[in-house]
Amino acid sequence: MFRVVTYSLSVVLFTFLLSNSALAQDGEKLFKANCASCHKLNKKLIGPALTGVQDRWEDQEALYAWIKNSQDYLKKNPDDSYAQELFVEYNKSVMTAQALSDAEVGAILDYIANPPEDKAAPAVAEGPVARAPAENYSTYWMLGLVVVLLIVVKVLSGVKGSLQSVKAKLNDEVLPEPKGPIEGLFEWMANNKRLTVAIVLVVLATLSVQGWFVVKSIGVYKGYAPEQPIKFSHKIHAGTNSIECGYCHHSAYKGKNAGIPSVNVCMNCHKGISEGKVDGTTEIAKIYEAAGWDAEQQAYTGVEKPIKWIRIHNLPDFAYFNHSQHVVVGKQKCQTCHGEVEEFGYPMKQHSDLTMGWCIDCHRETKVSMEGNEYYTKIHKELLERYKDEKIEAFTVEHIGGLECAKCHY
Amino acid sequence: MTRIKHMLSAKNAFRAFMVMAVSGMLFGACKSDPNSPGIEYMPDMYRSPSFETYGENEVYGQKIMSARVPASNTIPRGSDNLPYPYPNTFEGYEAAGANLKNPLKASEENLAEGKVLYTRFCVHCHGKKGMGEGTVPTNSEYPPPPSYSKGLKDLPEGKMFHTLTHGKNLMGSHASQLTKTERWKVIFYVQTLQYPEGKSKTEEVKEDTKEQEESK
Repeated sequence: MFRVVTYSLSVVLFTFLLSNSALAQDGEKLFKANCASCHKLNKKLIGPALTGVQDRWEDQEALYAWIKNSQDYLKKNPDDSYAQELFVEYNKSVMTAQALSDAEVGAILDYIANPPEDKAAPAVAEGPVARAPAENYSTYWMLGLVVVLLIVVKVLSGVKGSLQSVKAKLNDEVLPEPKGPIEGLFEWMANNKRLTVAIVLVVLATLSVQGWFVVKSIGVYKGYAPEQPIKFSHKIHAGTNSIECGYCHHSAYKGKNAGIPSVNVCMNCHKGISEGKVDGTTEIAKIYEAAGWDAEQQAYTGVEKPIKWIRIHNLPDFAYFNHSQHVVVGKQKCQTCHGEVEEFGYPMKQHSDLTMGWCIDCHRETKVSMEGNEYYTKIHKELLERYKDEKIEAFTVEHIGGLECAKCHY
Repeated sequence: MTRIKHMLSAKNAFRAFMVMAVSGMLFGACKSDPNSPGIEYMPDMYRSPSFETYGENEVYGQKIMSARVPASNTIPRGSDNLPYPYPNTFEGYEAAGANLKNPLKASEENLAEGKVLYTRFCVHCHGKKGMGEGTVPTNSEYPPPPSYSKGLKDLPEGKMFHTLTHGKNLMGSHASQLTKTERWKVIFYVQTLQYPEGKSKTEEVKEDTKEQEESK
């Protein structure tokens, strides 16, 4: 009998514990799903910080009613000055009516009163991790080594010279006048003509190959990746979070420029997201400074400060390029010219040459899809007629005038 | 004499070549700095004195941005951005919900364009199904927006337009990214997400117009 009682008791206790912990977990889940888009525990967001909410409401039943349907509560209790003032204080933003049971509301309140420890204390300790500077020091090491070796050579030749003079003194010989380095070099060259020619040829070849690459790189910005005022990472935004390029660069579909997003576009998300996973709050704080957003008060101050982004992609003034033409009509993906930007971390870099040859190559290869586009119906007929002899049926940008000078230079 | 001339020119060519090669080497070293775009043949052509779209320029002795906010109380030619009468308040939101109606015709074309715009501007938070299952809340564990087919099932189109225009709660204003016509197109698509299982309001309207046209 005793055994049965203890057994059943322990079962009851066990289920109680289980249900309790399950409830606390549910509380966290429910909070995240239903409350977190407007409330934080320790900070004001759209609504007030929720820590201590049960102490602020004298009547717990009223709190439950308020959470479930605040508008209904306001209508039924016009005398509850606390609730009425709260509504006005938070710009009359309506708290969405929540279809929650009493038990679920209780679970959420339990979670708010006793959050798991790592969540209660906002991550102060794990601020931005100090990363080792990524500079390449090997060049400096090599230079240092060369200097040391030169010093050694100088010292050794000095020792050799003094030894020779000592030897000469002992033997009563007269040393020939020491030659200057240049004279010595000429003498050596006169004695080793073939070797000299070989060395000169090698040096010349290396220099001219190097020089050729340098001349070819003039005016080509490929790989240009300057430091920016904010450590914006395309990998986080377009990669991890899969935000379409056009969300921020929306003018690419409408005009010549793809557009650097104005800071209000950043604030569309960062009003709520004040802490990143890589650099903590430091970089996002710079957006707030630019937008004049007071994160404590959750309000704009009106003092704005433009972000001075460094321009990467830059065509000379004599070349005309229009984004909308390529993206809307040509149906080109952003990645065709800019590379897999969603994989690029900070800083952003230029992927392509953006030279005329590079443009022309693409215009020669890219086929124009003329089917289902009324604009091309007549042109397509004419083209078929014109290129009948060459038997070309798929036309590229070249055939519709994509190589004509005046298309881009006027 | 000609021989001397020949010697001279060959010598000069050699010298010029050497100078070019050496300076090339030196310039080549500059390119490795990621903060420098490299050598420019004609910097004037890249950094022109005329105003670029984005940049700081001196106007009337003042250094200001060349991208300016349009003068107040003006409407761009051909724009649909006529004054919006509902203020960004609780009362404005309610009034927009009660009075504001979609001026566009519910057509396949508008709905298709709405879908394109939705996938560009909304999907990363609201999700493909509109249930708040977008990549930003799921991949980065940020709070999700409410579901169109649950909490926002009965949201009138006027309130949607008001929210797109002024923003609401954590969602910011998308008025700078979407024109008014585009906002209404997005709303057509969102309405189909409100009723995933059955007929949306848009489809009902479509059928109504079809019937009307057929009866004509």
